[in-house]
Amino acid sequence: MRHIIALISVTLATFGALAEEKVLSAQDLEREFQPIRAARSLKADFKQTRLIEKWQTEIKTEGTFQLTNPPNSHVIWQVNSPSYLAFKLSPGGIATQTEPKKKWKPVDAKNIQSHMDNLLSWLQFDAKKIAQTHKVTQLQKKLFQLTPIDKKAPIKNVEIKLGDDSFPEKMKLATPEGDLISIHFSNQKVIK
Amino acid sequence: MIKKVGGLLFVLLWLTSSQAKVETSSEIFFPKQQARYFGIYQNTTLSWWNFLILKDESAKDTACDALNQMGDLLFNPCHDMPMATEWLSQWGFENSLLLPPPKNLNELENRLNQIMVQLSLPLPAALLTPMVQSPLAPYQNLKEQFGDFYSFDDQSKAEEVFAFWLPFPSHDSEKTTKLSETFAKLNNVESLGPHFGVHANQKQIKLDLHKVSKIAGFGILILVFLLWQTGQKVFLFLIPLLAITLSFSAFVVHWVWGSIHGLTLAFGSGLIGISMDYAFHGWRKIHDKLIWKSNLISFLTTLASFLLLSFFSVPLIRQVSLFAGLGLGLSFILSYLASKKLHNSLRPKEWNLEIPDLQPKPAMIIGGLIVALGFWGLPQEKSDFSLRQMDVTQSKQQATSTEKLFGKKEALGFALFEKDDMKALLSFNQWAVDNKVNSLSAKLPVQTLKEAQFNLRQWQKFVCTNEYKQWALRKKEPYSKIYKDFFNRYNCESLKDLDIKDLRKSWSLFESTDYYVSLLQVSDPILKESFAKQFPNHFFLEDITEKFPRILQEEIQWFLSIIAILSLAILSYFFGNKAPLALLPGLGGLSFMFAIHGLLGRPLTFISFVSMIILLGLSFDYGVFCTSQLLNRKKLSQVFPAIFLSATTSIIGFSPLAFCEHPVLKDMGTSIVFGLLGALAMSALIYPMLEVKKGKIT
Repeated sequence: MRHIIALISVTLATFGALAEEKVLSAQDLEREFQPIRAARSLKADFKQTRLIEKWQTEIKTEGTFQLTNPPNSHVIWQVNSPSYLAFKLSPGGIATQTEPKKKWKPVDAKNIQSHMDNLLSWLQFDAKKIAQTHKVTQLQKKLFQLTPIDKKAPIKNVEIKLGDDSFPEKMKLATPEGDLISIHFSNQKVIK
Repeated sequence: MIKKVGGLLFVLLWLTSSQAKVETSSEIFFPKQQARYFGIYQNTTLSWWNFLILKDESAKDTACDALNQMGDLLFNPCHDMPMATEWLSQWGFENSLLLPPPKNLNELENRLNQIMVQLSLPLPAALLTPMVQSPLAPYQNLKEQFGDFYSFDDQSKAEEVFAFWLPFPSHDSEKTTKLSETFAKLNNVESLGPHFGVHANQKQIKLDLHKVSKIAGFGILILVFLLWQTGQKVFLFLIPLLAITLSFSAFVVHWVWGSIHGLTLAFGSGLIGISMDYAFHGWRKIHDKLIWKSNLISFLTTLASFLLLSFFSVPLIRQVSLFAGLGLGLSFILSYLASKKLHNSLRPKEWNLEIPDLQPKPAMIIGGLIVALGFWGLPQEKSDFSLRQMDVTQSKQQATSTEKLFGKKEALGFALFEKDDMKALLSFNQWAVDNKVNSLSAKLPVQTLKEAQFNLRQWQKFVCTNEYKQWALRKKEPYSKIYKDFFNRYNCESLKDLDIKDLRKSWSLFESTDYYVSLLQVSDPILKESFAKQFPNHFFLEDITEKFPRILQEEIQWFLSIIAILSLAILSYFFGNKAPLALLPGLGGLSFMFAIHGLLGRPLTFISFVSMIILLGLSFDYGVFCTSQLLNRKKLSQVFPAIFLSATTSIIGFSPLAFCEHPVLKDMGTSIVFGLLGALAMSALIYPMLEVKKGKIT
């Protein structure tokens, strides 16, 4: 019996070691994100649920996500439901739009620039910047966890799940306050 | 009878309970044209700014906790995401009842959804702060841009500044004390602003008054011992007599000003010290015309110096001058009358004070040394007339922070708008947007009570419609949780019997305000000029702090010249070409005062110069008596005991001030006490030498 237990332990330990999270380098991550970065732009619909710990309630929003790669690099996060509100995030700054087709209004974010850079790095799937500011681990195939090095970052960690076509499928964000944000992407359209 | 009444008044004057009622404001330091701005916040509960300087990231949480605990903050920079609903419940909902209700349910739903979308975003809370504005809140135009008010250390980004409004005036001592004490406990958070300043000032002045009372009590014991030992105990009778004059002066000051400042009252112990002089000199020699002539000259020179102070633009100095001038005048009259009536029944023992018989050479050397010390001390510490030198709240660290906050390139200014001048306020807001100027600006939700009443009635109608009731019932999670407070408050049951008076908290704030004060930050001098032209009712802190020393410096220069001319004129009238002789103690006093400032490394402040004027007025007295004796070929030993006693009482009277922490009192106390010591030393050194010479010549 003792031999059987020992054998099971050794087997489990071996599998455990195999299942251990893999820390990725910038190059590894760049390889994973290559299809997204190679496209001129990527557009997708999203459905987001934010579980607010404080009120133990969920806020559901829907909208579109649009990533445009350099040279005209920016991200547009457009919430259509329950109310319209769009954000344009670019290295130059952040702007909001409260009604469709209205003028973008810049928001002063220079004092939280480092936080904005963090946010932008994973919204743009910029492997180099992500690796500089996050610890990146591969949890499963096409599933990555980004943990900001800066402990004061507004997001505790981000999980990114890529689909078989290597385009974003899911994102899970945890905030320091205990809120959980999960985003499902669908109808991904790529402009090469 | 006089003894009893005087004794009682004396006790009352120094009793803690009577001191608790004295005024302790800081505006009393400002010249009229500047005090106007600094006094506004006393009547402006709605919009006066205070600042928190957060030294590091961790300080933000503790500062926000403290701010949120304050409850009724009008503008709380900490209402980030988790705080949004609390903020809504505290202010937004309540004040929204003063505004028109939404046109229909769609509009209301849209407003609630807008804020919910913002709450759902994965953005940093700090970014959400300027974005999360309640669609129901009346202050949606409160912040045109959050901008640089959030952080002022451009290099390290380590420090942040929170500007916030408090909806209670700084003289609401209970709330101000609670606020100040809360922030005083926090590490890495510095608090600046009128509320904090007033509290620190009040606290320090009260502490100092206690200290003055205690030390003055101890000083009186020393005086009693001295008078007892020298057989002059009859002069103890003067203490209650002078307490009557002092109380009367305090009463007149209170009548004229409407209040008496703690710093003025603290000057009282010094005034008692000075006021005793006339009786010391003239009591025994009521028929000696020479002595009373000298007494009169002394009184006139001292009075002239105090009267001169009444022309200063700083209200504190004017108040002290009225208090002291009146006290001195009455003391002189009472001393004369008391001497005349009582000198036979109350006779002090003869007291001959032997002056050390110094040879002319060492006397000259020591006298020269005192003057040389003065010349050495004068350039050691440059004069500093800045506001900082009079501010009790300014520790070195705070002074640096203030300088960083207000002295930087971007001028921090305040635009004032009278309550009814809504047009100007709106045009300022537009100007700030057009010129991309950082500004935090007040905006009234409604202009008249009538309008507010109308809006409340509209709300009552709105929430009592069946459509609204059904809509509210249909609203499940997340609305029911996020907007719990809103649904609890905004329903027919809660609002139907509500009267505008029930919204006192909101409405009374607007009602009690005479001015709205907007905060702005301008970096471009051309823009600053354009702002100044367009909005004349404004002030920049840097302008005030720059102008303050200039105004005082000009006044000091004028007054010192006037006192020099006036004193020389009075002395020349009485002593002819020997008038300079009477100036010697003054010279010694000033030299010693400069030397002490140099040794202690203290700059000569505006108060040092005011003290200098008082010191000159006092030390001329010694010169007048000695010169008068010398010129009339009388012995100095006849006047020296009185000079010694009067100097001692003045020193005992002013020394409590030197132990105070308030810079004004400390500076005045140190300058006058050491100045008097110098004046006394110079009198004792030089006049006997002249007397010897004169004897030889004769």
